[in-house]
Amino acid sequence: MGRATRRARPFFSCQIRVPLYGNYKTVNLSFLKVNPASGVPIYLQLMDRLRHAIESCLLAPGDQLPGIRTLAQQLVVSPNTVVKAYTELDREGVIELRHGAGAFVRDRERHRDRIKDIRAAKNLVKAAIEKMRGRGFTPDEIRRFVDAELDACVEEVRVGH
Amino acid sequence: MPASKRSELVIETYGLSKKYRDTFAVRDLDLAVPAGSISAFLGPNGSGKTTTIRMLLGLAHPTAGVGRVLGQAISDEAACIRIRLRIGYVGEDKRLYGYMTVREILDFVRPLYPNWNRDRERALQERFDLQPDRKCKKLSKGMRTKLALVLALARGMDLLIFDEPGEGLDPAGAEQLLEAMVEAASDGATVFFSTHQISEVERIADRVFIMNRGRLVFQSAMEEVRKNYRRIHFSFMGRAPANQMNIDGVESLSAEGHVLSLVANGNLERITQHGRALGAVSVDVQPIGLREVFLETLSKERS
Amino acid sequence: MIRSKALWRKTWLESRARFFGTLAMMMFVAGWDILDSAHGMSRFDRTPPITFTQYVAYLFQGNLQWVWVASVLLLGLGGLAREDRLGTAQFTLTLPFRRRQWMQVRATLGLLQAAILALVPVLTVPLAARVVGRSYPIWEAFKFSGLLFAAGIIFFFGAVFRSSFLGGEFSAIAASGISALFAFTAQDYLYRWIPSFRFSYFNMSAFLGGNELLDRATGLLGGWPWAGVVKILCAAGVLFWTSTAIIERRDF
Repeated sequence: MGRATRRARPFFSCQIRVPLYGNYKTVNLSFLKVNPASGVPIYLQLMDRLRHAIESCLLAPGDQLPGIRTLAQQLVVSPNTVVKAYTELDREGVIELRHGAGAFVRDRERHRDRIKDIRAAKNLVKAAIEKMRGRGFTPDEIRRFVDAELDACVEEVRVGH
Repeated sequence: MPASKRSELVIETYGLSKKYRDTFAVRDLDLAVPAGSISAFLGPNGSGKTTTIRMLLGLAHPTAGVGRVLGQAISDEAACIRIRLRIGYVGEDKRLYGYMTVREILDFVRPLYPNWNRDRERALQERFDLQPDRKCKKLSKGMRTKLALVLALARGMDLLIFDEPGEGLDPAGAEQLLEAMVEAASDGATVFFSTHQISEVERIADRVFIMNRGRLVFQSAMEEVRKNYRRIHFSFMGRAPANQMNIDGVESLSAEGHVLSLVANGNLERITQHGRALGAVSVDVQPIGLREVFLETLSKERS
Repeated sequence: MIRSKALWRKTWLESRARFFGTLAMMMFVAGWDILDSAHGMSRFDRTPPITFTQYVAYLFQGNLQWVWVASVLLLGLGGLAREDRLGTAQFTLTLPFRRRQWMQVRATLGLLQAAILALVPVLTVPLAARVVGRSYPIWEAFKFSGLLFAAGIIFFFGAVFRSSFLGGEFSAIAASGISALFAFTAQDYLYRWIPSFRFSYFNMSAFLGGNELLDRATGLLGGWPWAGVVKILCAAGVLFWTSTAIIERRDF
């Protein structure tokens, strides 16, 4: 699988880029080293380091991240941890998990859009919750409303709306 | 890893017990190990870890309760055979047939497992530097362990059960062991290992089970432990009010002069607030390693 | 599934030394006593002097019997209880075979080996006889050997039975030795001391040698004590079944 065709580079791209695709054995992944003894869950540490790597251009948009297997073995951590880190980063929109192909750094533009979407969604939820708290509902009750609504959505999908 | 696989249990026991005359080696064990995880089994010597593993493999017969490995009942010998075809095991006693050479024992075991992976076998043999023509009785403990690992890992198994695998390995070998376990987990195998090396557990385990005196006294995801367990030191002006700190989440407490230190499991905000409300002048929150959690759990049991 | 080569290969490797050792012993005793027959026969002070066939019958009732029984007691050693003591039981038992299969293969291989040992005199006696200028019919030797094997098999299964709970080699051999001694001699003493024992007089050694059917004059066997052999085979079966049950119930 080759690199994605380059679009116009973001203006802040770096000149020097480490080619990470396919050469993980030769590239030193030690910048991703995690500390199992700290109080921070390993997957969070990994996410931080990956985000940092992306921000400091060690990983560029479109670059493929190390495979779960490879990374787990290099760092000697549980593959489940790597999975969790990647999943969360995907949810945040920092990377993209392409089914069957691997994990790729998201294009900045699309990343920015996704970040905007995420921020908007979070604000919506914040506003709704503040409103309900203002009306005197407890967090548990609010949570129940949300769950009930989500379950109903799932039902609709299943029934085929 | 597909979600459906993750919700399966590869090891489940209900009320599993092993009684020897008047003492229980294992008592009322309810173990649930999910598929695709790396689970660590901790506990002091004599806590029942090895006995449990022996029962799971059909080496010892339970005196009460039921257990299932990969969905098969451990009490049925025919089912045990089916289980053994899909698991790799490295026991405490890693003795192999002394009269066979390394090559011979690999040749012996290979045809028994339809999913044997020849390439994996060769790669591991190289990695562990095993001499094919050495007789097993001439191998050092560390080499025996490595050979046992190759025999277990080259099989294409769904579940790996290790009883103190790191015993007898030098630090380099121990690192290779961890790498091999992670590799197996990346291939989709579930890894269940008992150990005394807490640092190993902290690195690769997803779940931790702690046994003491035959009972399961603690189980948790490793992340939860990292997130929730903290050691908190409060300094007070006067004497530390130890008896007023009995709130939810405080696992253990000790007071010396004007310093109160406690181990908290969750509820950190409330605890620190409470401490401040009682007049603490300084609050120091620190993460604690699994070793401390382990020791705290055991000392709680003792009291 | 006993067809699996692995089961047989391992069992063979572990019994190989014992088998070849006892085979050599058997060949030596069977050969030597014949080659030395002139000397051996001269020790019998009888009139009419002992014939060669009578002498051979004497051997079958004596040395050959004892060396075969001793060999077979050695062949019955081994097994999972012994592996438990050595430390390899955990490995063996986590292979995809039932405990019963290990037992069955060990018993079958042991029986084959015992049969070969019992057949050694069938070959060596006539051959050695030829060497010293005598002749001995193979068929007669076969009758003796066959009886030795069929009836003496109880000793093999006794050893297998003992090995199912005695893991140590010395304790197993000692126990085997004691029980063989008992089997061979106790009857005599019991018979002497307990008169009521008279009706159940049974001398193992005599039975193995076919004493009751031996034609004293010629030194040839008249036939086979089939009834006794069947009873012994049944007892051997019970011992084997018990050994399997013991191993299956054991915790390793």
